[in-house]
Amino acid sequence: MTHNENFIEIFRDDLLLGFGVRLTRNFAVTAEHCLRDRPSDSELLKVRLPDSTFATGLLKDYDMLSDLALLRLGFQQPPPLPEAFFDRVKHGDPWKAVHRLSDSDDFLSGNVVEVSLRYGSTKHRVVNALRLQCDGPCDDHRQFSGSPIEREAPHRASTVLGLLVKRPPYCTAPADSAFAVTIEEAVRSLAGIRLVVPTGVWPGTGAGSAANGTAGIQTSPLVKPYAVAEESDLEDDSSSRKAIAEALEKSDLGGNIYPLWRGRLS
Amino acid sequence: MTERSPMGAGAPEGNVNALETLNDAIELAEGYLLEAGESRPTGDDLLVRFVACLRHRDLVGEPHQAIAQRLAHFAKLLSAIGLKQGSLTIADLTLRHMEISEADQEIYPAAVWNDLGMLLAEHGDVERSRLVLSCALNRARRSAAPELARILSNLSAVSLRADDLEDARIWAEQSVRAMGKYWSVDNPEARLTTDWVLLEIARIQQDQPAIGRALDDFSTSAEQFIRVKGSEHPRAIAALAALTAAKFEVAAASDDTDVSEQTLGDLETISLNASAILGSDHRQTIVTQASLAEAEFTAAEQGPTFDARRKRAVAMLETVADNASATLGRDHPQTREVRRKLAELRAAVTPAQELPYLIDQVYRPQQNTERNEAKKSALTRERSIIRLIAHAGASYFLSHVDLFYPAIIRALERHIHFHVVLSSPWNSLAVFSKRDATTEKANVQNIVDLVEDSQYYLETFLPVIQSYLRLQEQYGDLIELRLTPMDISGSTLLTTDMGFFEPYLTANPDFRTRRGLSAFEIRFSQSSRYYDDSVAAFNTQWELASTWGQFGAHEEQHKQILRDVVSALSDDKPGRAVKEGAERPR
Repeated sequence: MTHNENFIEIFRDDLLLGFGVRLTRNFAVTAEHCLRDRPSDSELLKVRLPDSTFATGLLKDYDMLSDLALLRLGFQQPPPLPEAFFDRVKHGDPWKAVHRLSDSDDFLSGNVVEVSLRYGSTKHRVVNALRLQCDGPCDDHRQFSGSPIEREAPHRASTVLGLLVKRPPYCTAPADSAFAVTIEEAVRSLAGIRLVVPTGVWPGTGAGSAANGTAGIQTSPLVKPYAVAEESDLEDDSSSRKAIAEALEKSDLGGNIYPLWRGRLS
Repeated sequence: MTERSPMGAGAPEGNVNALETLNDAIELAEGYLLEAGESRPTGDDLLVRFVACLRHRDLVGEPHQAIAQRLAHFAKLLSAIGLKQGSLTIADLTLRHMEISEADQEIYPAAVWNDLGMLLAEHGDVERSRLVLSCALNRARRSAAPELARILSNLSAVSLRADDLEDARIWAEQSVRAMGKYWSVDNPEARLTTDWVLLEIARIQQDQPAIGRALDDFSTSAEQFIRVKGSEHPRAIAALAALTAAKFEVAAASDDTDVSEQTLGDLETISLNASAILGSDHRQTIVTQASLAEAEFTAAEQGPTFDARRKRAVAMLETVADNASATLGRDHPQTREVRRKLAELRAAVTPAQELPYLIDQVYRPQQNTERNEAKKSALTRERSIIRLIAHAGASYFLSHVDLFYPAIIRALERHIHFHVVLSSPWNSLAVFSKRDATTEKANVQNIVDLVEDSQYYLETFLPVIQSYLRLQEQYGDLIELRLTPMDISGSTLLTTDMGFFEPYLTANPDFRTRRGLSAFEIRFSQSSRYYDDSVAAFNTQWELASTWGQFGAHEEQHKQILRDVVSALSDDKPGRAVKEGAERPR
């Protein structure tokens, strides 16, 4: 069995349903279609971790559009943080599936050929996925569904780029292509691992409750992705300047100085 | 502006291997910035060579406001694409150009000065950043510029980076007042920074009521920032992480396990989002992971799996430290803080005898200034106790030496303890005192007089003691000095986080004080075995040394011991005549 701390196996009773990616201590993501009959809110699945211990898995959220499902893991004692490294994906990145069919088989691997394939869309939302070129033949990618794909680098820990999902319907890509949803897409799509906004009093409105300083982050609808201003009334040259200004701001060079992180005083 | 090579036309035609103008360089750097992550096999060399060729003389001419802005923009681009040294060079050049251009008239608006101040802070030059931002502030006040609140918030942040909490608070409060006049939802960064600074001040001072108030304000400004910029903006993620980490600390301090576990889980979510959205090498991903590692380490103290959790937290912070070094640079202040925290956690999980003998840095004589700055920084950051073993302590006790005395005073003002072990002037080293042809040779009768007449005794030892007595009168038990009759092999400075050791190569006490670095000095963190050994050595010296009162009561005995040493060393013993030709007694 592979020992990658992100890799999990999901069972219903003793039936292996599929594989997944452990994202945090208490959350893992898998391909939704792996779960077959979608478990109820109270059905506990069995999740095997890389060290061969088991945890319970409770379906927390799912998204048909991205073929993702989020499991909340349960332990008797809080385990250590998983050694999990994630990163953004670039065109041409090499990838390797963490799961392989047997120890004697080669790993499924190749290069990322598309980073923004339109995987699914609705009126309000678009889900993008990776299209992966595979080295060597593979009879059935479904055998790898949910498996993390990672990018190896010399002298550094492997980073997980996403997880393998099913081929989108009506896709005209070559038959030997594989598809993966990025971790970035996962955190946007699934409640429980999505960024949320603290509830506070907005100056000048006189409305809203006081900030809750005790229980931490409150849930709220997904806030729009990072953007500086509306683009509709900008010319091309201004758009370019805006893109550069945004890029500088993203690099902490937008004209503001912020406090550096300081460790807590011992 | 008249552009000259390499600023403009004049470069050899057909030279496709060099950038000809500043515009070319900016265009290339902007392209790289927008294509972040793509390889650029030759572009870095082109940019580095362009920076190297650019000189101040190329900028001399009709002062042009746009030139400084373009140079500042170029410096920001270089920093953003990882060419840090080039960025600093251009920032230096820009500052010099602006200073000279404004010799007799104001040209550059507050915003340009602010940008330069921000760049200098980014490069870790907090002192120059403060000066430049002060210039921006004066400019902004005179012109009622909209950047006023931003500049004030920047001053508060950079003062905090300089560990000047009082200044940071003053600037932050002024920023709040300024925003009351010029409030605008288009500038949420200034409010975010200000509330963040005030939260950090409260955390550092461990003022629980102030932390609670600051948390509420920071939560509000973070929410507003996110509404304007979006939750995936790097600053939004950083603010969420800082807010959540602060809430965790409050919960952990009050033993609220439920809330601390909840906020710990929130920190994990933020760290996951940072990695996935910003990338593993982004600064905010690095600091978010540092927050998480530290919080996990703290939370692990409360459970049965604490050992495995703490070791994993340390391993995580090791990865973060490596990423910070690779992304920000080894000497970036953020990297140093991550490494400092890592050293602290390592020391907590590793038995002292298993710690490695690690040296963080070796300072050579030509790095005297760097060494001094590192010591000042360590003294400024200390929150508990400073320990010093030295020959004379002039650098720490004499204000006119203008070295560490101000930092010591500020530490005492913060109620930091200062324990010092100095050499007694009556130890055996006195026989090695500086002599010239006119000085009487040391003997039993005159050795004490020689010491009392020496430059070291008159200009260093006595003034140091006087300074100590004044400080003791003012600060009481916070400061204590002891004198040891034993030879000290070198000077040792210990703070909670780190230690410094400089060996003495000379036995002459006159050459052990009031001079720069003559051999070398090492700096080590608390996770090094050197630290543990140094603390043990200090404690031994401390126990064996005499308090000032004890020293005074037994000083005559110490003088007599010195005379006895000289007697044992000297051929010229009292009462014995040496006849010519007589055999020397064996």
